[in-house]
Amino acid sequence: MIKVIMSNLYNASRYKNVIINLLLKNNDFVTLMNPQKPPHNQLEIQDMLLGGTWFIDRKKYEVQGQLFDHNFVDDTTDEEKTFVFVETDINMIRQNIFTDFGLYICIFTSKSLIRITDDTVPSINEVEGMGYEVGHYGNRIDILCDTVDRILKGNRKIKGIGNIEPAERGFCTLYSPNNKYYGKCLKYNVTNLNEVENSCEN
Amino acid sequence: MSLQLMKERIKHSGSTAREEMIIDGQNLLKEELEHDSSYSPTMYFWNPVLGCDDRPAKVRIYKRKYSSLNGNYQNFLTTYDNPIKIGEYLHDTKDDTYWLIYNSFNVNDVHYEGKMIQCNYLLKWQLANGEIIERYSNIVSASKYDVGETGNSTLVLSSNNYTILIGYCEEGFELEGKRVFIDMKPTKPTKVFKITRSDDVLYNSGNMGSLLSFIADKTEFNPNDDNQELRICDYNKNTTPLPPTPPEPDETTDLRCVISGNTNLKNGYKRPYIVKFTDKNKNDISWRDVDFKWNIVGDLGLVVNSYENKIDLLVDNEDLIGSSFLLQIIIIGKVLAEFEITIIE
Repeated sequence: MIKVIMSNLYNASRYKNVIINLLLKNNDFVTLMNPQKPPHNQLEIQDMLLGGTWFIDRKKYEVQGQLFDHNFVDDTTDEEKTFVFVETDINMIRQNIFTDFGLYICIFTSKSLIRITDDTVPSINEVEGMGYEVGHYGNRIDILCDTVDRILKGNRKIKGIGNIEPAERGFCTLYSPNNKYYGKCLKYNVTNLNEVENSCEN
Repeated sequence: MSLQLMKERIKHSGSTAREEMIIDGQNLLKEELEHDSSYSPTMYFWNPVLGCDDRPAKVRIYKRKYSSLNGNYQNFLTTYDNPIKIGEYLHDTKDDTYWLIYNSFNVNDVHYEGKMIQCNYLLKWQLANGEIIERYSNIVSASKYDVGETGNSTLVLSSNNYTILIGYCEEGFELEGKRVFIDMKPTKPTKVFKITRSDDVLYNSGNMGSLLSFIADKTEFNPNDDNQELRICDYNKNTTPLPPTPPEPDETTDLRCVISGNTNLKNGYKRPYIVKFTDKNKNDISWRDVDFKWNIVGDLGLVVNSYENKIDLLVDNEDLIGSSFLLQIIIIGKVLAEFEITIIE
């Protein structure tokens, strides 16, 4: 029988995975990220967002990706894109019983992609069609933050004690990795039991 | 008789010794220019606007060299009656190379000599009126020891710098701040550079001509705004002066139209609405080919400004907040499209 060891770090990693899957399944999120068309019909839009290297029909396909579970972008970026990092950290373990996780979703894009107008992809009409009030103002980062917030806030798939909630302090902070990119970082908290391995000894 | 002849001869050969020397030099060179192996019969003036060869350049070429400042260069010599200006282009038809005149000096009125540098890239950009401009350019590195990457632990971007020289032209002034492709790939170029600095004074020689110098900084490719097929960055198809001629649509049955814009009109703020026409196969039809009219149902005293295929609407009356009206497109007396707009605060 395979022993699955639950641990705090396993949970931290699992949260990242669950969040990434939730984002990928949301059409509004994918539209705003505007991934390129897959270069081969065996690749899907999700593959374009996650990135990777594939060998299909003896040809190599490399995609840098836009959505990562670490807070750096691998490889030199030579195309203007929107990026999202999903990161977790463990702020506190209280009385050895409760573990407080911080979930970070950092969203940033090239400055030239911020404004959403008639001519952008998506266009202002498509964005207003998504139904968010914030769509009127045509700021891609603000709209993405709203989209991510709606997906995550109180989402039952992120399992913990109580629901996932926006952090009390620093819920939405500014995030600019360099002088050509602008973005915001959203912080959520979720608490779980501090996983302690119980081994049965004979 | 001989005094008359002597006066004629003196008048012909110059009134001073200096003038005589100059006239002799001019005539000698004019006679002998083409009789030397350094004379190039294949060199023509290149017209950059029409993109074709003009008259023969009639130059002697010598001292061919390479420098890291200018790339390949060679010197030219030509007669006094063929002044070659800085910024002019030459095309050597024997090996299909293009040259930009970098230096030109009038040497004692006897001849012109100078230096021309080889052009290594055909730069393309679009003017504000939609016209596409092509100019041969000389491009050299402006940061030879750059490693090609710049960034931090989060994000790394590509990095490169070029100095670009083109012949003086009014269209060159619109290059400043623009993004251009500088990529040798024959199809689907991806290397985009932003023109970050323009030095127009440095190469100004007044009546002897002028060059325009730019610094181009590597920037990222935008798959939505940059047209790889036409090799133009930030391509704006709305201002192209020659739209494609679509087939004449049957106006009442085949024509479809869509009004796009915000369903809410904020009180006191002007909003644009656009109409786009397509035929039944979803091909775009230019608004210029359609005889249409905007119509607003509901006399609300809106301020209206229509132009091309757009209409700007403005309402400035708090009492109207909450009410709505219809914006319509009318063709031959029929309503082809309708758009309901609500006035909000």
